[in-house]
Amino acid sequence: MSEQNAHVTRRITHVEVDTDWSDAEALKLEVLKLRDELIGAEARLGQVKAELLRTAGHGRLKLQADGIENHVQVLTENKALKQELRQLKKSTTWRIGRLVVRPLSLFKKQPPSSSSVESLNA
Amino acid sequence: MLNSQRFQIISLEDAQIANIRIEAEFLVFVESENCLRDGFGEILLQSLPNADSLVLAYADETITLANRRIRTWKPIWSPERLRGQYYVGLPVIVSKRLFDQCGGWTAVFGSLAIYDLVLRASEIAEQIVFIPEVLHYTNHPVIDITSTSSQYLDVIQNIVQNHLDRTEPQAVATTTHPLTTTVFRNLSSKPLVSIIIPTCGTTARIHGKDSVLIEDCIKSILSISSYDNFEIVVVFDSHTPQRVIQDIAGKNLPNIKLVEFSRPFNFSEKINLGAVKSSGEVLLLLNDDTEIYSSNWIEEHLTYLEQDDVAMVGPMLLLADGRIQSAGHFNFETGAIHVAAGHSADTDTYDRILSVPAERSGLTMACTAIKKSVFNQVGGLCTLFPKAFNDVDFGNKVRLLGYRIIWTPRAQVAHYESLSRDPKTELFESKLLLERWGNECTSHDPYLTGINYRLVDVYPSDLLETYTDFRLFVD
Repeated sequence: MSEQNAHVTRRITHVEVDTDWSDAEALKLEVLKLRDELIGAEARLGQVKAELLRTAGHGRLKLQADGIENHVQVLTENKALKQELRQLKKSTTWRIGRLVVRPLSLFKKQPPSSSSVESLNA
Repeated sequence: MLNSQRFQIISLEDAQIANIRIEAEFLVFVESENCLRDGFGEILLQSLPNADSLVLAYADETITLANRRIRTWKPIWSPERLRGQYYVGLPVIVSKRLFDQCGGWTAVFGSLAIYDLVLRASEIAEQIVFIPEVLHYTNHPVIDITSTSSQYLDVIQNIVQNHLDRTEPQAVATTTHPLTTTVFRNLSSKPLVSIIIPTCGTTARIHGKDSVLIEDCIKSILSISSYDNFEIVVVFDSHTPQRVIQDIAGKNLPNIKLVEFSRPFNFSEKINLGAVKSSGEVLLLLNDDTEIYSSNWIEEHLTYLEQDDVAMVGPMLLLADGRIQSAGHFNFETGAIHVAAGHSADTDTYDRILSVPAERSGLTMACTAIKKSVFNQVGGLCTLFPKAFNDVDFGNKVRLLGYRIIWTPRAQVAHYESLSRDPKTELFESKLLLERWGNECTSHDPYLTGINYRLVDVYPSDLLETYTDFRLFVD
């Protein structure tokens, strides 16, 4: 109780003036504080969970975006290679080369003889 | 009728003319079959629980007005608001079991029979789901706000009265507008109410004269209140002028406790101390810079607190010049704001939310009634907020535990805002609020969603694409 109001308390008889916190009241205040801290912690946990979900969501989106980007890049490279291949096949060098190796490829395509198969099985 | 195994779509017109033969797990009531959004079935499948339980669901819709499609921005389940106005609209989804058990369709109410169905279904539903997606397009909203014929208003009144007869037999409904039905209730008991007023004995100029705020506040309570079972707990700072304490004590007032607070200023601590020193079942927190306008203000608060899941109730707060100071809180952009602050008290929003008592996400502590049991359960006001945001924090704590908060326009209190102290907020308080409730405060308000309800004449069309889902991340 402050000094300023001390004498007031003595003069007041019909109105209750409380200046002290009893042990029970102090404990009640402490319990209130603890409960508030508990709910506050729960609320903070909620924030963290929400943030995690958001981050996870962003992570998934980033992976998907990266995947799409990679896919597009692969397609582009694929297209360029096909084009390059087409150009190569049209070239004179390629045509001459094919003529040169053609007999060899015909030879390679011949099936193995039955005797050779037998010898392998033996 | 377009039927699938799970969903049976029923237009209101079909429901009127034929007995509904149920052929699916869920009934989906719509204006007509082509009013549903493409892919609604997938969204319903994701959102609805098992059809074995008693399920009632509703979703957002768009309404065409003057060639503009306006989103309805419906709130999460709000039973008090539903008694005051049919905000659910269409589509309404009811599980077969719930439809059977609640008594089915009542054709006698014509096009408003859907309101009756939703009220009856809600009385026994095990789960009520709001789907925050536009699933329905219409040119004709269920409630015709241009229809003011007494016959139309009577149908609405009968629907609500029937609901009250089943749930609160003493309550009486009066409909004055298609979106405004007032429910009058009598108190079933008269609990002791502890009116807690923190003060430091400030003198301020009000209505052109200097007055000691706490003295005028007490005078106002005693001269106007019709309720008589209350005590007043004045929590005064040690530096309060001695004359003020003597004056209060010297008036021989009944049921007054004076409690000294000798620590540095902390509004939350003062309220908590007052609560600990109080004896009532209900705490009515009141700033000293307030003046009571409605004689039934205490009864009006108590009638809502008689519902088990209602924890807090607050009145319409008016500034000295009669404009609105606060009609409850709503989350908008980065924080909680007062609904309709600064607007004339006789204006209203397009959806008439200033005319009906309804759920809010929070209330200002300038005048709020709280069940003491809930106050204790949530740990009172957080003392880490000495000046500001303790009310926002408290409202969030209360809702986290599953309680509803109601604002009512039928009790009016003048609040000469922050006359008794410096209204400036501290950075650490904003920071702490965001740490605890950042996601909550920066999401759309669950009850007044989608638009800036500080304005009274706004339509939500500009915000059509900005909706973000509202979630409380709690196990």
